[in-house]
Amino acid sequence: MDQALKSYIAICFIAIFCSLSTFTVSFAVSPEEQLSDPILEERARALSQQLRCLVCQNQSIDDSDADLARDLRLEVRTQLQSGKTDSDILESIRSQYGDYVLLKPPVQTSTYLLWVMPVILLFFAALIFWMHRRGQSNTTQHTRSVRDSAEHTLTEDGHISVKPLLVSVTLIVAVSMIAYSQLGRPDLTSQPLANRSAAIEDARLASDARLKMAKETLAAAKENALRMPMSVDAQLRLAMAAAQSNAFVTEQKALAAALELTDGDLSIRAMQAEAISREAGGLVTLPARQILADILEANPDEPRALYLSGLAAFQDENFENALTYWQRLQTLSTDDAPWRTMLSDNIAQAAKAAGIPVDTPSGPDADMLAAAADMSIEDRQEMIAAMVAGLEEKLQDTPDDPAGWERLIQSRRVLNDRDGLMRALSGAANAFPTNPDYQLALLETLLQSETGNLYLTLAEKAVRNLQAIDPDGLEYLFFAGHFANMRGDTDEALSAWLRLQDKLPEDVPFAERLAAQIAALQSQK
Amino acid sequence: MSTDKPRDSRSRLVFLIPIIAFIGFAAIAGAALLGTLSGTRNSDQLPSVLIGKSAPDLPITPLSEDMAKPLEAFQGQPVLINFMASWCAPCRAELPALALLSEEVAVIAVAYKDKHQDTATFLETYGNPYQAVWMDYDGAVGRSYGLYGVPETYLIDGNGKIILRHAGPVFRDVIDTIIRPALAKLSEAE
Repeated sequence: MDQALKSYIAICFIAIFCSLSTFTVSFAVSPEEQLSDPILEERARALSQQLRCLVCQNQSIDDSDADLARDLRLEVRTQLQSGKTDSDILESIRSQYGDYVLLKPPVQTSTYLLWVMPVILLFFAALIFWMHRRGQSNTTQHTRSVRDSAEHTLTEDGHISVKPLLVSVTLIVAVSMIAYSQLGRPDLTSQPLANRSAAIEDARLASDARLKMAKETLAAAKENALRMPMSVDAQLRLAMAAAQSNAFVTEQKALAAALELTDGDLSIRAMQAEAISREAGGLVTLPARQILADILEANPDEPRALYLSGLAAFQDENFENALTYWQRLQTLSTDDAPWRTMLSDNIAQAAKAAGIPVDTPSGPDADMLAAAADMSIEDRQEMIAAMVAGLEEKLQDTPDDPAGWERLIQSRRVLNDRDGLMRALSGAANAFPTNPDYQLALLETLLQSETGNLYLTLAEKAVRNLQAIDPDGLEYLFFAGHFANMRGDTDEALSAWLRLQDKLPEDVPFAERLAAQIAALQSQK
Repeated sequence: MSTDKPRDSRSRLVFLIPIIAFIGFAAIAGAALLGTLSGTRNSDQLPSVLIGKSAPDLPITPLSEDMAKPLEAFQGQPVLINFMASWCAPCRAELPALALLSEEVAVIAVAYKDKHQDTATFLETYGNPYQAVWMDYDGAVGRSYGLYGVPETYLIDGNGKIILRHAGPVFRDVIDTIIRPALAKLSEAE
């Protein structure tokens, strides 16, 4: 083989080896340290990989289990959350720990030698090599017969192999330097920072917008819960909104309030367990397990508790128990239960981990799920819509099915179908005119949706139903006043609200609002 | 034959370059090794970037009311800030030397990532050489000093500037070779 080619291949191998050695897989970040925002977390990881652990010195803080490394990781994340840029954060840590904390030393006067040394060394190597070859070929020309060394023959064989070698070395160095300056190390996403700043900015804006929306939803839900302190639905919605913006304290408070209003409803207890687990980064913690055990003792079929208990067992690597819980939940779940797909995924995973072959659920339901997996998003939505419409039809024929109505209402709510939701709510309210919960569910939704006079007839009916249940009820008086006011019947609104005011204790926050609204009505007259 | 000689010797000279370079590197590495062995160069002692800068604020919680002297109370005189913790064995080992030192210069402690009761018990049991003890519960103050472990000791001058950082326990030899010379330099400057 040509000598130049051989050297070239050798150099390529070295280059490949060097680049591979920069891909290390180990990292020490534990789940509870991680940020919930994936973009921030990715930036945190990239930054951590650029910071040296000062205790272990040859590891980044991302790799190190040292206490100080953990503290610095947390500090990076805290600063990220407060909105600082990558370079701000590196600079603030460098101002405390010095250049040494940066794994990639900065280019500055004291490090010029460090940065240009490889180039200088390569230059000298090339120079020496070239001088050596020239010296030899000269020697060869002059004293072909006199000297017969190993190098001598080599030169004759590999004839003028110096030039291509020099060219290839220079080329490799130049290409790698250009690639490095453009891309940086491929596993360090933030290098070079300048090229990424636009992407970071975009990601930040998107995440800001998302946060802002979640915040607004939360604020609206809070307002709503304040306006209707007696409404379980409002509290649960507040809990949901709080969960979305990671406001764990608010979530727990709302759930506790809802629990009190429902006198210890088991499904709300289960939500509490879920909230606790979510706060712990998805780990089903001991307090959550305590709650779950209590729930399952009272009702062994509570779906959320079954799901979470399975998850807890899975996290303990007790896959058989996890399978038991999840399979039980699967047999209890209806075909259109929202957790169906997730559940069968989990079961498959647990079965695989436990090494147990599971018979995949048979029947039309499994086939439908399998079909749904292959469908496009539009097709899948169509299928779901068809399923929901079928349910609605069935309920019109056999309205005496509270679970069916609840499923329909839930589906309409998830699908964001306002007309369908109103139809479902009023259908349920009509099917059970003596059940105040259904009347209130309809009225509260009407109140929140602020759709004006569109559904006034539906509201009227529900208000009358409420009146029939309890003509002195606080809810009845409130809604009677509200919808009378919407109709423009100020007299009736005033009379209902004044009666409500008499019955309302004065220290409720709502009393103040009511007084203001009454005053407004009175001034209108 | 006579024309070959200079060319030959030149190519030999060229071969000498890597050898000379190697000897050069070996000399630098050898000097570093000798320094490490003789103790004048310590690879564990990272330079602090805070030298010459104002000392960052101390924690806000003191161990007790009579241990609550703030840094400003020491203005005009040098003071040693000793980062320690009850869970750290070398911190216990350096207490006698710190007691000795406290006769010459004020020493205050920052209890790094320690529990209040643990620090109190530690100082009751092994003696308290400090004029003030501040609680750095979460280590934030330690990080603001660029601390990477306990014990670490910082010498602050009368203007509140950091003069010296010593990582590791303060024993008598450290007092003699590092702290006393630095203190002498400070009083000379005055």
